[in-house]
This record gives sequence, C-alpha cells and structure tokens, in this order.
Amino acid sequence: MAAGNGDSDYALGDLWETFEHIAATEGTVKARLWFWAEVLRSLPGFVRNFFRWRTDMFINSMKLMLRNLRRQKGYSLINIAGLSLGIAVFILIMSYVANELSYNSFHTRLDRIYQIGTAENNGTPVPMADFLKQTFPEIEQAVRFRNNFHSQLFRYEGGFFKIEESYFVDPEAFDVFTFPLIRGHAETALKDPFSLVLSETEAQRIFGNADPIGKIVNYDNQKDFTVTAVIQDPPRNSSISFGALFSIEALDDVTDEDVSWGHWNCQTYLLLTKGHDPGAVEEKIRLFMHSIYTDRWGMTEDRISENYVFSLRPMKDLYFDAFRGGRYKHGSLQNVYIFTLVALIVLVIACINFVNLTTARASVRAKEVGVRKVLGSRRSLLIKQFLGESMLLNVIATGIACLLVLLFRPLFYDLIGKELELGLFSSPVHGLFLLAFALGLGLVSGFYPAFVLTAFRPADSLSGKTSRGVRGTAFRKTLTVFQFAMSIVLIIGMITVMRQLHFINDKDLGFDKDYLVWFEESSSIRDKADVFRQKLEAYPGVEKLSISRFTRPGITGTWDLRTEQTTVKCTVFLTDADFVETMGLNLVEGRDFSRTMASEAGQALILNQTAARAFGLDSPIGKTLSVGNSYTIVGVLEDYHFQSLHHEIEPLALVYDPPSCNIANIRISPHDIDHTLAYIGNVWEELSPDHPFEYRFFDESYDRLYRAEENFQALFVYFSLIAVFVACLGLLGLASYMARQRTKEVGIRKVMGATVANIMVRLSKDFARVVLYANILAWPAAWIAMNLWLRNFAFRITMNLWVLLLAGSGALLIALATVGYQAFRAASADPVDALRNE
Amino acid sequence: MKFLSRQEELLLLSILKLKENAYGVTIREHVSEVTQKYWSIGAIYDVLDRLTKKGLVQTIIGAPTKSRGGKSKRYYRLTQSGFDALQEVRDLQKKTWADLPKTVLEEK
Repeated sequence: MAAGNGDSDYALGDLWETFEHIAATEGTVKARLWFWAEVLRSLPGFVRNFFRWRTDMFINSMKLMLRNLRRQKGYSLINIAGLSLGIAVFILIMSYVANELSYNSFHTRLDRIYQIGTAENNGTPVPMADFLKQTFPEIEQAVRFRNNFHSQLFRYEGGFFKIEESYFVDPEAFDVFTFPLIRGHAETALKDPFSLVLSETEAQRIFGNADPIGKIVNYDNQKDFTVTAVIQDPPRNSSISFGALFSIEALDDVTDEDVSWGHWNCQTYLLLTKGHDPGAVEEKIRLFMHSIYTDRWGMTEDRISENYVFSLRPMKDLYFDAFRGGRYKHGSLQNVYIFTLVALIVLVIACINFVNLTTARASVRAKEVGVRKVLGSRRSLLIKQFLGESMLLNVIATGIACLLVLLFRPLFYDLIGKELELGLFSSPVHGLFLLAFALGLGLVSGFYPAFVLTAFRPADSLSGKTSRGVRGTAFRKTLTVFQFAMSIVLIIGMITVMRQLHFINDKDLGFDKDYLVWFEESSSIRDKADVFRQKLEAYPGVEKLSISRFTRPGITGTWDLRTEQTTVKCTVFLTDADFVETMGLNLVEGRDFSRTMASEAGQALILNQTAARAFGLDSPIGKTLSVGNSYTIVGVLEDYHFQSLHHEIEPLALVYDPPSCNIANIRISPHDIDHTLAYIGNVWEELSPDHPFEYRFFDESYDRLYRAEENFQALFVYFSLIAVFVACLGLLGLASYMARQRTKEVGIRKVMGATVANIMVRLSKDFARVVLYANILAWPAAWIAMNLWLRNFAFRITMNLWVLLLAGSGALLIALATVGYQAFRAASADPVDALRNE
Repeated sequence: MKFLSRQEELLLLSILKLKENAYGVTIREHVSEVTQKYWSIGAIYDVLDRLTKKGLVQTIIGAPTKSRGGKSKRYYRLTQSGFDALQEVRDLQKKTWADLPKTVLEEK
C-alpha cells in the first residue's frame, strides 16, 4: 500500500484490520475482493509518488553531477572528449561495417538467387541460361548479365554521353532482381532487341526533364536504341551497378563477339523455386554440363578439368567473393572483421579511460558518499546514483559523438572511397538504438567505478582516511596496461600496413609502368589504323606504340592452351609486334613477333617463363599449342607482374593477332608530356571526330588495383592514431591526478634535497613500467595478427623485430611525453605551496 | 490564508469527534457513514497526509497489535492550528449563510 510517503506501515495496518473485519462479517471472498479493489485504487497515487520522488532524486543527482563536472573541468574534458572520440569512431566504423554487410540485401528474392560459375571464374557460356531454364523445373528463372566492355559512348541530338557501366541482360532480369522501374513496364522493357533501359540519373543527364520513353539514342555511332524504361538507380550497396541495360538480343549486332558455347562471357543468375535445395540443383547442373562437354563437344574425360566444374554461389555472398564478384563491386570480409575489431578497441580504450579517471577521482567524491551514507542512503541507492551519472555522461558523450560523426562524415567517405547507403540518422530507430547504446555503455563502464565509489565506510571517508584513493590502483594499472597493449598492436599494424603498401608501390614489376598512356580505339581509328600509327610514330614525343587487346589492368581473359600432354590455363593478351618493346619487357629465349612475316598472324605466340614451366617444355621454341587453332611458340618472356601483387605470376601468353586489337598503349617521352598528349588528341580528333578522346595513364590504372588497400591503410592509420590519442588522454588524466596526489610527497622530497630530475624520474617510472608490460602483451599478438594479414599478398614483406621495437619505444615516448609535463609541473612547484596547508 | 477543502474539513471534524480513538480505520468508517459514500484507505490517507504536512493534526504512534498484522496504529489529534482552521471555516460559513433567505433553498 503506497498511499502515504514512507508511512505506509500505518496504512498497511489499517488495511489489514479492515480486511480482518470484513472477513469476519462478510466472508473472506468479499474481503479479498475488497482488498484488491483497494490496491487498485491506490495505484494512481503510488505511480505519481514514485515518479515525483524519482524525478526529485534524478534532478538532485544531475545537479551534483554537473557541479562535479564543472568543479573539475580538466578531468571532465578529458573524460568526455575521450568517450566522444571513441564513440564517434565506433559509430563511423560500425556504419561502414553495416553498409558492407548490407550489400545486395535489397533484392526481395535474395535467398533464392544464385550465380553460376567455376572455381575461379564467373563467366559462363552464353547459351547456358536458356538450356538450364528449359531442362530443370527447379530453376524458375535464369538470366544473363553480359558486361559491356565494348563502348561507353552514347549520342543524343548531337551530344555525347558516356555511360561508364552498362550490361546486356535478358528481359526477365526484373523478375529475378529488385530494380524498380520508374517509367515503362518490366515485362516489355527489354523484349525488343534494340531497347534500352536507363537509370534515373543517366536519363536525367541525357534528356533533362523531358520524357525519355520512346526517345532514340545512338550507341557507339552504330545502332539506334529506343528507350523503353527508366529504373531507379541501383542502390550504392548493390554489387551490380549500371547506368544502362541493353537487351541481350543486341549483343550479336553491337559487338563482333561470338555468342556460342565457346564464349564464356556472361554471368548467369538462377532464381530457384521456393523450397529449392541448391546442392541438389548444383549436382544436376554438373551432370548436365558434363554430358554437354562429352556429347556435344566431344571432349574426353581427362580434358574436363576443374575449370569446367560449375557451382552455385548464393547471391547474398557475392559481395565478399573476390573471384565470383569479378568486375562487380566487392568487399573484403576480412577487412570488415579487422575494422570491427579496431572499432571495439577504440571503444574499449575510451571506456577504460572513463573507468580509470572515475575511480582515480574516487577520493574526491568519498566525502559526498560518506555524507549520503550517514544520512541513511543504502549502498544500492548510491550504486544506482553513480550508474545513473555514468549513463548520463555517456549519453552526453554520444550526443557529442553524433555531432563529430556529422562533421567528419565527408572526410570518412573520402577515406573509404565511397558513400554509405545507410544514413546514420535517417530513422528514429537509429536514434533509439544510439540511446540504448549510450545507456548500455554507461552501465558497462560505470559498473566498476560505482562499486569502488560506494565501498567507502563513512567514518573513514569523513575523517579523510581514504583520501589517498589506494583502492583500485592495481586494477587501474592493469587496465592501462591493456589499453597501451592495444594501442601498441595498432601502431605495429599501422607500420606494417604502410610498409607493405610501400613495398608494393616500389617493387620492380618487370616492366615500366611509367609514362605509358593507354586508351581504347574507336571504330573509326581502327579502320584507319595505319594512318593513326604513322602519324603518332612521326611525333618525337611518342617513343613507341603498340595496339593490344585484353590488356586493361585488372581485367584479363584466360584461355585453356593445350599440348598433347597438358592443359594450362593461361592469361592471354592479344598483341601486335610492338607490345614487348613498348611495355619494356625482356625476352629470354626466341624472338619477338615479326610484322613482316605474313604467316605469323593468328599463329604465333610468346609465353612467359611461368607458362613455359607449366607446360613442362624444356625447349619451348617451335612447339605448338592449341585452343581450337594451333599456335607456334616463337619466344619466351621473362616473368613480369602483369597482374596486381595479390597474385603470383601466372602463366601468360601473348598471341599475335593485330586485327583484333583495340587498345592503344603509347610509351611517351617524359619531356613535355602535355604537348605529346595534345598531339595524340589532335590526331584522334582528325581521324575520329565523332568520338571524344579519353586516355589514361597506365600506372594510375595499375595503382587503382590497390585502391582497396589504400583505403584500408588510410582508415587503419587514422583510426589507430585516434586510438593512441584517446589512450594518451587517459594517461594524461591519470598523470595529472597522480601529480596532485603526490604533491606533499614531492614537497617533502624537495625539501630534503631531491632535484627536479630525480622527482620526474620517480613520478614517470610507474608509467614507463606500465608501457613496458603493455609491450610484452602486444608484441606476440601483433606479430601473429600481422603475419596473418600479410598472407593476403603473394608478394609481401616479412615482419621485423625493429617494427616491434619502434612501436614499443614510440608508445613509451608518447607516454613519457604525456606524463612528463605533469611530472615536471609537480616537480618544479615550490615546496612551500605544497606543504603549507595541513 | 488558504481555506480548508471540504475533505479536509470532513476529516478534521471526524478526528475531533472520535477523540482518543481517531486512527485510519475509525476515521474511514466515520467518514463513510456521514457521507454515505465509499472512501478508500488511500483516499483517507491522502487527506490525512496533507493535514499532517500543514500541521493541522499531529500523530501519535500506538502499540502494534496482532489484528493489524503486527503493524502499529497511528492516532491523529488536532493541533491548535487545526482547531483554528475549523473555527475559521465555521465562522466563514456562518457569515456566508447568514443573510440568505430560507426560501431560496427550499424552492429548489
């Protein structure tokens, strides 16, 4: 019964007495009913009082807390700054992680979509999808996506538009994937061979506000396409992104590519029926394809290598699968783990600061606790009060963190090289989540301090006995050791990541990637190839020129080349006779392609050393290899890194096939690059006025292959620095606290003749020891972790002891610098001031 | 000064009439009887607490009894200001009712 405040005893007595009375006169049942009616009636008052007292106490606690914050500005600043920074980093990284994990999740049929591919390739034969769909009832739909490598050029009413990414797709693509249409109808959008679907952004760019439906757009100066639909831009967290979709029917007409079984250029996606078993379907597809190889193609069993074994890959895993992702956007699950860990480390470091600073200040609040206890407060109430304070402080810190996040978000997007689809503050749910997060954090970080702070016995604390705050010193030190161990691990990680990337940038690739310009030739240039070559070679700034195909950095094709005995999967570059020289490669055996030998076209090839070894050929020159056609080996190339350094050097074959080549590689002289480029541009303009001239530097394109690593490095470095900074903030707080605690001791020592240096050493020693212990913990952990990370690279640095030493001594220096100032201030103070007050 | 509320007046009068035996149960019985309405214990204590806070009544703690589950009774007694407050209400009533013709109420 809660009608009265604190005098409920008497009311309870009354209740009891009346209950007995009614029970005696009217029976227990009635008495019971009456009792519960009474209880219900008293509820409103109870609730009202509950809240009134709660708010009273809450306001009181708040007041005290704010007073405490204000009285000790330094501590409060360090405490809140550390927490806010930690939380801000945590929020940023976790929003990145959430974004990474959200890839492709917007497809409503996601759990039923699978990509077909072989172990290392997501290419499938062009006709495969139709065959599968017709053969297997489990496959509800099969659609093909064919990346458009051909040309990015569109023309509408005399204006040129480049659409970076486009695909040839089956009309049923919209049945499988969730790409909502804004205009037009999904069923008919891609039915017609020359229909074109544009993304909202591209439609807006080309047509402005005019209605795009039915408009005719010219593609690559070849064919006219009719816009049939406009779709919403694919979300940023989509693996497949594009500005335009062609009907796959147009593939034949637009490109000169073969669309038979022999060309593995399409990605095939299956939509399985509900209640499917992907394993069973996969098995059936393997058997089916096997029969096609043997019956249709007449392949013998021994020739069907693992490259012909298909498997199903769930669409939901596509983003984190580098091989299957192919040209698609893909991410690294490992990086997601690493960053989650870094986020947690930063957060833990910030929380440890909080715990340390709060417990270190325990003595300051011991008197308050004493008074509260004397006035009758129970310990549980005090614990609640301190937990409340901690939660409030965390809520404040989270608020500041949110501001920091808003402020630094653009910078963060710069670092990770993309914008996040998930808005942090886009919905109230996020707000609630953040609040819950802040309260939870307050609870966790406030737990230990609350117990320490409330443990004082009032008699002691009021008489000033515990003012030294001895309790928890060991615990605080342990936490600081952990804090620094984590910081040191991060510093070691930082140095290793930077060294590895430096190593990659500086490694001799076996060819010269500088001063090399490449671009794709337009059809008109290809028609006038000889004129183009003559004009360019006539200019002194152009040192060498080679036309090739499949040599874009990062995108290569493979062939299965065979001798009588073995089949080797080789990366293939189609080249002319100048490729070796233009790229600065070395032949170790045989000769280069010859432009003058008419018999050479489509029949000669050059292997790299790795390929020659893979074929097991002792004297490869003059031997023949076949892949449908036969090729004679005319030379062997010294191994060079034609791929990024993630890969070992793989078998490579240069095939002499000038008519198929479409990528111009131009070695220019390092002098007067601007004029040379302008000259090339003019020649282009002259020969191909209907295509804009665009070129790229080979080294830039090559370096782009390491963009993921560069983003990783940037994120890692910045967040490690923040972690170290936060740890130092905590150390600063502890040091200044310690300096104040030992004012008297220092005073006495000085009076007795200690020098400033003596005292500084004395005060810093403890902290130095903490950092040394931290090193002992950190080194093995970092050693193991970084060796694991380095395994990502086929070519990597080895871990060195000096990195550990460097990180360790760096941490020690930073710590001593942080502590040193406080120590110096304490040591150089006048002992008279320290000892005057007793 | 602030006047007593009707409930406060009722309770003060009850306490006055119950003399030595004014505690929660008896006060509630008495008030319910006079007003012919149900009063919950909570309602009684709400007013009693207010009266105590205003210093119109004082409390005396009795001995715990078994019939009350081992809880003691709290007896209420009017303080001097309690008496004064009642006095004041009565004076006020006298004044306000005085020059009212009898017929006005009876006609209704």
